[in-house]
Amino acid sequence: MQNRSILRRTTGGVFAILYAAFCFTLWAQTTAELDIDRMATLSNRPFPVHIKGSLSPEALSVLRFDLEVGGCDIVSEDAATYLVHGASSENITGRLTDQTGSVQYFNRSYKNGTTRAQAHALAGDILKVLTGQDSIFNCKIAYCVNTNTDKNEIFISDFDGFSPKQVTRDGSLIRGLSWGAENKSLLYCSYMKGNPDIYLHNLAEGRRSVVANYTGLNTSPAISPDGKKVAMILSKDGTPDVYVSNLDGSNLKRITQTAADEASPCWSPDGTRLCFSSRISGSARLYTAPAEGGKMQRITTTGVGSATEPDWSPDGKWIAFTTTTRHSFQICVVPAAGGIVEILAEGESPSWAPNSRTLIFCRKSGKKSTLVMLDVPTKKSKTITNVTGSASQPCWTR
Amino acid sequence: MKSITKLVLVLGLSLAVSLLTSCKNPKTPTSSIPKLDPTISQAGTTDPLAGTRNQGTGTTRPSGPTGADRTGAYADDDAFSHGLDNVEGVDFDDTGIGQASRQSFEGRPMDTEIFKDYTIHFDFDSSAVRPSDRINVEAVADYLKAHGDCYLLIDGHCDERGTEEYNQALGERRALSAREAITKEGIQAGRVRTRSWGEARPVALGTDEASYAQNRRGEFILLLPRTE
Repeated sequence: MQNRSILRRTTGGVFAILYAAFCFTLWAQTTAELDIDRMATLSNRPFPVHIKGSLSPEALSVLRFDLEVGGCDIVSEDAATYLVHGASSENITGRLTDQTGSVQYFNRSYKNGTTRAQAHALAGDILKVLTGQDSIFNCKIAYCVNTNTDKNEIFISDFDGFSPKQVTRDGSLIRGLSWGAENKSLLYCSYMKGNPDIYLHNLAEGRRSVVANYTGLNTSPAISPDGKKVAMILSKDGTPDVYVSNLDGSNLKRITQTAADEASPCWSPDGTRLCFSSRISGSARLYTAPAEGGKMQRITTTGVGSATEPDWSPDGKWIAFTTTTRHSFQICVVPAAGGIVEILAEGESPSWAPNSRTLIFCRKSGKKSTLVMLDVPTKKSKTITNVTGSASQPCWTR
Repeated sequence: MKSITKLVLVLGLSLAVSLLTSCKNPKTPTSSIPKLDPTISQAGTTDPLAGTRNQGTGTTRPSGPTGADRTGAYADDDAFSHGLDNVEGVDFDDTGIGQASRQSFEGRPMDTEIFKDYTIHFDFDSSAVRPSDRINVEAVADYLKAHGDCYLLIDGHCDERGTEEYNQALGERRALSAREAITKEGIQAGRVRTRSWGEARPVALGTDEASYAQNRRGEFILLLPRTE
């Protein structure tokens, strides 16, 4: 916009200036288009929402939390674009209208489950109207609670940290936590046998099987979108490289062959490519490679120095990652093909929700680490306050 | 009588010859006790097992299924001349020296004290062994040469300024660089295993460069022969 006003001022000048201005217009238009494109996906304003009615304090607090996670500003009635009319009696009923009340988007009553579950369902319906995305408020998160720098245990809870359940009791160290196929299992690296080894943990049966326990490092397992393969980091051949195998460790294939260390592989949603960090250029950068093996390709991350811990958005468009400076960690996103990086917030270890717009990550302050959720388009973030202790490595069910 | 004299003479001669030859190839105990590097013997004194290990060198062999095929290679101090590819389970590649099977390291008691003063340190975000740390690597390698029945574990560590999984890989790369350096000193790669702790086990808890510098390290842990 600024470019165009400068252009207007120059149009009254002599021919030479006109010519220069013509060239400038071309340039200004191209950049303006690019900016608009980025605005549409990354720089949306929050949705101004007002909540009316007679919701119980519990239902109201759940609804407020969820709507803020989803990119809403809870505002006064006259500042709102959307009105939520909620009521708690035996069950929760909810209605979404525009500010005048003349346009009604839905009117529903929620019958099953707890008050929390009903409020989550109402929030999910509201955000479905506002964003077109299915609800993420019925999702779970897995994370580690740290009891020492080298000891932690896995927990699973609702996405907001409620109803936590402890999964491991090994008194050991977990790294590279991720969900398995259909969210029925977890994959992680544990030091419980004295070496970092990869396990597949069946949640229903509470049974663990070994995916990889080679000499050296076995870590950062990531399940393929079809649930049949695991990408991981092994150093069995003398340097940390990316490998892919079946869930039982069979059919092992080496994907990268670099003298430098690779880390944190993740899959493209179509399962054809892997994204990971590599120190092949001397410092950590993002690369992709065909999941069947083949040439590594750099993802440009213009604007930041280092890039680690990539996570590919479920819609395939973005890669979230962490950039490290000497004193802080920042959560970033970049188009999956590479380009200009958007720095979002302080934190590390990002994981995409299935809606491809909400990220969960952890933020360290001193020795304590807290879980934070961020709505990428509006950059609104929300801290999960009811997880006790220091929590890290959060990951969202997909 | 002459025949008796002849017999005595022959016996006497053969005795003399056998005495002479035994002098030419003296089976003196010193030849089977390798010289200890003075710097190492100093560290060794902190270890109660140091004395017994000196006597055992050259005769004690690693036990267990994978131990047997290694004895030939380890009988000689100069393990390097036997070629690294003699070790079972080790593959070679342009981009790294493959690791031996887990079994060959299992059940070996750890001595975390003996090489405590030989910990090496790394620059920020680097996995290169510093030239100034070469003396430590040589000392550890000399000890391993002298104690053919012992193996080595190298623990790699990072400061807290990288992300967790990145640090896990970086710590491993550091341990592997130290392993490559040990290998260059003539120790078979198959005797050395690596383990990364990333940033999980700092020795200094401060958030200043001095603490970070102490935490970016590679620790040498001696793996003793199996006791059965």
